[in-house]
Amino acid sequence: MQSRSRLVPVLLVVAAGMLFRAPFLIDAAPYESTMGLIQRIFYYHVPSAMVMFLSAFVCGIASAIYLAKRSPRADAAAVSAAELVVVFGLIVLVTGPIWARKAWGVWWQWDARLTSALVLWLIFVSYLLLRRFAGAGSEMLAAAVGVFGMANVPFVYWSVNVWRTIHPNTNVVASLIPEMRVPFYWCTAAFLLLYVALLLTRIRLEQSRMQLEAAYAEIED
Amino acid sequence: MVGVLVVAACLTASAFAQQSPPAQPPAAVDEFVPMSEAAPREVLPATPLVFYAYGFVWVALLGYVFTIWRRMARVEQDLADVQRRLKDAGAAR
Repeated sequence: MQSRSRLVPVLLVVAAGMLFRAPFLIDAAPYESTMGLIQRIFYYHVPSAMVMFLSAFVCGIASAIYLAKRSPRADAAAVSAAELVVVFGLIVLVTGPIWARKAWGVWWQWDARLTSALVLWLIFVSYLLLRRFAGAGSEMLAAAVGVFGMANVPFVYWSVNVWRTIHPNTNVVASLIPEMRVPFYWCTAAFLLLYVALLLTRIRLEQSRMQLEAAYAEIED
Repeated sequence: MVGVLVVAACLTASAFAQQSPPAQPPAAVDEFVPMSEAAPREVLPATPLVFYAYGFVWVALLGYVFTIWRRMARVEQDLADVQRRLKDAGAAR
């Protein structure tokens, strides 16, 4: 129990340290030939997208477990992961258009990748709205939305390969030169550590809230 | 016969009147304009955009951490209050 309570602060400190170091590594990476400086947004934009997809999977799997077993722990994990999909998805949907404004000349294009990413984000916003406003029993409906949201992730990921889009395709990461690969994977690791720390903290908050609800119910009895 | 000629003349006159002047070919380029004299194109500086993007990431993450910390503090305080009330109620019985 003590090791678990120490895990989150350690993860947070390591992630924060890595994120502070990241700009120096990014600065040392070469400029991209057509986009120049604006391409540096890539080193935060793509890891945020990867974390968003990961969190959508966590939410979907936890939701499926909740639907099957009605496990409170699975429910806590699902709502925590859904909240993080919204947070990291917001980062993706803001940093992407900032990059696009310079690279493509427009803030937004209704192409397959951008539109499907926005839809995915809206699905998890609706998950949170259901949990917040739909009252007792909304956990089941929200869990179904979580599973549906997880099912959308492969479509979002493969959209750039299947449809003609303005967004770079999935080959970009695999084809990075070593000087760009190092800062990219550094940022990805930092974001993943941060995600795990935030997820564990949010799950603890949700479990405390469930304890509080149980205590209120006991008082009323 | 005269009537036919008049009508034909009128139709021909109206056709000439409606006809638009022949399209003029574009003026040939007669000089090259050096870059310094060309009309300024939009030049969007990348540096502020990169700062805005990175700044937003930090604001979003720190803001979320702050909201979790505040919610956790509120829940833990409420939980402590409720547990104290339950303890008092148990002692009173």
